[in-house]
Amino acid sequence: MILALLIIVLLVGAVLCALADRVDRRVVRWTALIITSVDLALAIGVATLVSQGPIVFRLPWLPSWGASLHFEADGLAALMILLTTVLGVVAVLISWEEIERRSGAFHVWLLLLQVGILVVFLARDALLFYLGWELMLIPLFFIIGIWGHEDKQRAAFKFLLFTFGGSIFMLLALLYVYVRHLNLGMGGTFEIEELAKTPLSASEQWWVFLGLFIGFAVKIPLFPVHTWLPDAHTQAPTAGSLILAGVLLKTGVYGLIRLAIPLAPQAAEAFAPLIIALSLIGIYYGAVVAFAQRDFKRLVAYSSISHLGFVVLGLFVGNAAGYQGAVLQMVNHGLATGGLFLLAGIIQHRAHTRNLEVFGGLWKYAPAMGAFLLFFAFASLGIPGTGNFIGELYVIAGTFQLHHTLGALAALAVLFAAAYSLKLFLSTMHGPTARPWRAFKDLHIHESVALGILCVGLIAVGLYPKLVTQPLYFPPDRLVPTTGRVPERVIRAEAARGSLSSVSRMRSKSFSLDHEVVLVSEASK
Amino acid sequence: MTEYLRYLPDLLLGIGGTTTLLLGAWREDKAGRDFVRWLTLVFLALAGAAAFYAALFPQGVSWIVWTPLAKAFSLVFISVGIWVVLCEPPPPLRAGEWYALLQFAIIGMLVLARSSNLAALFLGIETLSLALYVLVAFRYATRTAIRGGALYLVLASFASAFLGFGLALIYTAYGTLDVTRIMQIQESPTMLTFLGHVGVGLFLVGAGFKLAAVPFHMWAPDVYEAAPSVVSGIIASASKGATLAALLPLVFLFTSHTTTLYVITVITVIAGNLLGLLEQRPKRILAYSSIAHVGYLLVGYLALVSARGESTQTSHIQEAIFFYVVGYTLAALGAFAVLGQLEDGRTLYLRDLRGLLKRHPLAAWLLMVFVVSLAGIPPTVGFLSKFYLFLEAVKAGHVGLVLWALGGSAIGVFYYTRILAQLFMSATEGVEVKVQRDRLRDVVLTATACLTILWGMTPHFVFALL
Repeated sequence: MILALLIIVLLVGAVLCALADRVDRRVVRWTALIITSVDLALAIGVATLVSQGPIVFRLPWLPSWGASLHFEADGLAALMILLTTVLGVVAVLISWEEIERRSGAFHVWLLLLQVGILVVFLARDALLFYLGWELMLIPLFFIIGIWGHEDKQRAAFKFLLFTFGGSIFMLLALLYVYVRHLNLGMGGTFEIEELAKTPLSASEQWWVFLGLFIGFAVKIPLFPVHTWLPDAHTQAPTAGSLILAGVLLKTGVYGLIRLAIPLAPQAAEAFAPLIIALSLIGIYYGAVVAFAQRDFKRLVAYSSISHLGFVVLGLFVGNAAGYQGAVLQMVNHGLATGGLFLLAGIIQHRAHTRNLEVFGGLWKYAPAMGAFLLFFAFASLGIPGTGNFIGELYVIAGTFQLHHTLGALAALAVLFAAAYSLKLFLSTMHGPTARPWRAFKDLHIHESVALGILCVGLIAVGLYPKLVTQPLYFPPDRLVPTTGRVPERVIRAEAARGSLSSVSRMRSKSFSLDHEVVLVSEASK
Repeated sequence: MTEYLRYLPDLLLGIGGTTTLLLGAWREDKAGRDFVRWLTLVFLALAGAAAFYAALFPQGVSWIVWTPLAKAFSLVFISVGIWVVLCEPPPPLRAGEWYALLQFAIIGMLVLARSSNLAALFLGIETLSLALYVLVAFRYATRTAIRGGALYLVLASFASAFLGFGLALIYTAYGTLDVTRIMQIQESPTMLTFLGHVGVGLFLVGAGFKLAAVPFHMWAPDVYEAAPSVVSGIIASASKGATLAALLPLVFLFTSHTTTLYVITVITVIAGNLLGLLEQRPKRILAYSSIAHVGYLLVGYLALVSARGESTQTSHIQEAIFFYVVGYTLAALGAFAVLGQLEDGRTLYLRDLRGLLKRHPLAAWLLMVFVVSLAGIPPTVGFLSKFYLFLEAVKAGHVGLVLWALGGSAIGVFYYTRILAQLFMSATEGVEVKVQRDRLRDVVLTATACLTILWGMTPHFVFALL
């Protein structure tokens, strides 16, 4: 029930915001803030309850098709919901001053966007998942297109066409699995867990995985289909960039974990080399292109591509360390890049430009802002003490287990991250003052609160990564996508070194999970 | 006597149409206009009730048969009539003719929905088309209206000629026009004659014209643009729905013509979505959208052809097609009705939509719901109905065809979002539009938009009609 409440609260909130718009802008803001805070409280409730086993909510929906409103929260879903609702509150806070035009409609779309995201994270029914997936399109299209910056319409169209275009392949793949499941006499159902039992042949799996992968890769975005992201990020209002970077991109990774890998495990393994190559290219490409940017937000957008490359890499190296690193990076990227986008928005609101070349010496005028930028830039390059360090370490360790050269490649990329992060910080805060920024005000209280929330999150994950890794093993997690290819001695060696203590603790469990996954794929042969 | 009861809805509407025609000629003032409007509503409601109960009486062999599907379609078409009467205020001149023609058009649709004989099908199409020719040119004071009406008249008669000749050849080949008889003959192992094939081919051309399937679609944008918006809505939705309803029992005719149908479907889906991309006039965009939607419906029809003989699958596909027609009708009628508020005798351009948010924000939001539904994005009925249709097509083995259709719909999203961008994202300076406001229309349109979303989540209510 608490899962349904998560969504109902947001829907009610959207209606309230639309009504409050008739009264005053301030009422709208406070309504949105209260609604998102209530949702955050509910999400914390879910995160605490989930340690005792998954929370299930199920209502019959379309019994003739075998589709139901099946929401289920396990550890991973709870983490993602928590991330979504935290960023939901932050998004309202950061729009406090920025959104002046049609503020009611803005908050309605912001809340509806979160509805779509939560449905994706909670759905255990393929039709419901797809519904949530498409539900995210229109709100973000409007958020970018109405409240965005100079070239907003083109960016909004690009975003919509790319993601819609990707999703049709995903839909076709889902329909195909459904029909195969039905034709084999196993009944028509959209339950993902049931669909995963469909014995598909190797070539069928290949096509199904390809369809799903195209849909998800566009959203993540992986290297060749990433071109919509810099535009969308740059043009979106701050809250839009925040939600887009923080959670929307994760829905793609989440879809890989929940749908693509379980439905086509063999194909996932067959595709793994290609995907690992693509994500490595993405890591380097994103980092190099980020360094060359002059636009604050574009730089951060390209760094996102690099970071998401790490996430996908971790997911497909096929061992527990990689998986944990991937999820850690999903959370960290949401918080750190979210923070950078907030600062981009804050600075742009004051300076009316995002051009890094005209900034410089801002620290003098806004020390608090500078401190926050320093922190988030360091987080983004993965300094120890922030979550990014742990996440990248896990991913790199996982990659090393797969192959030493690949691991070395992944590790070297961190150097590039340092380059663009430091460039970002230095060119804004230090150096000669290019313009007399007299009217440049330091942070408002609501901005400090918003940034502070993200900071606390990053440090918490950095100092105590079990916050993220532990929920992944809350029983019963059937979907850990490890394929059991990793030589055990690697893990043992690392455990002995003590650098990855949680890996050793998880080892027995994760290998028993491996066993299950292998059994499923054996059965489907 | 009871066997005539099956014609009761048609008779009622015939009487209603004649009465409103005469009364309308008698008094042209506001009271007279309002009177014929409410009278039409009464007759439509009576016809709806009659259709609901006429299906319960025993059915003999006849030209028309009340199958559950026919009954459901009939109720939908009568509802469309009621919707139009409520939504559109009576025209200032010749209100009696307007309502009479509307009722005659619905008679044509009812005959089409229930036809079990190819002659009845022809009769239904002609009744419907005759009424629509006049309705298209109803505002004859403007030149475009006359041109549109004439264009529709010439091309639709041309199509009727194909249809008629096709029927003649089919009659020559089978010796009957009764659908069940033709089916029996075709199932017997006798060789089908060449003439029969030619007849079916010509029949397909005629039906393609009526449905505006590519390559028989040329008339659609011009006619839709010239006609009063609500009439364009009827032509796009209910009229095509009726033609398709008449084709549903005829799947067996096309079993050896699947390749032709396949090609027509693919080019309809692709062309319908491509042609609208650069269009600047919203009514023409909706015309191309309507062509694309016929393409999606043809995907369902091909699935029906492939599923021939399998009763549960057939009924599922018919349900999906019915649901799609209902969903599309809601969205198309709604979208055209909103555009109708902006018309004042001149050509409507996309940029004219910019003023809507300021002048009549409710209409802008409603148009958004309808356009999102046409684009097939949740949580609207347009998504779920498309999903159901494509699901059934994949079940029938048409994975490739569905990929074409999905690709087409991904292209089409572009022009739908252009409408949304004009509505909400563009600067409103320098845009002067007059918006005709009508309280009843606002209520009806709001209810329609609510249904569009409600049925997008809970389609059982629509399935329950069957």
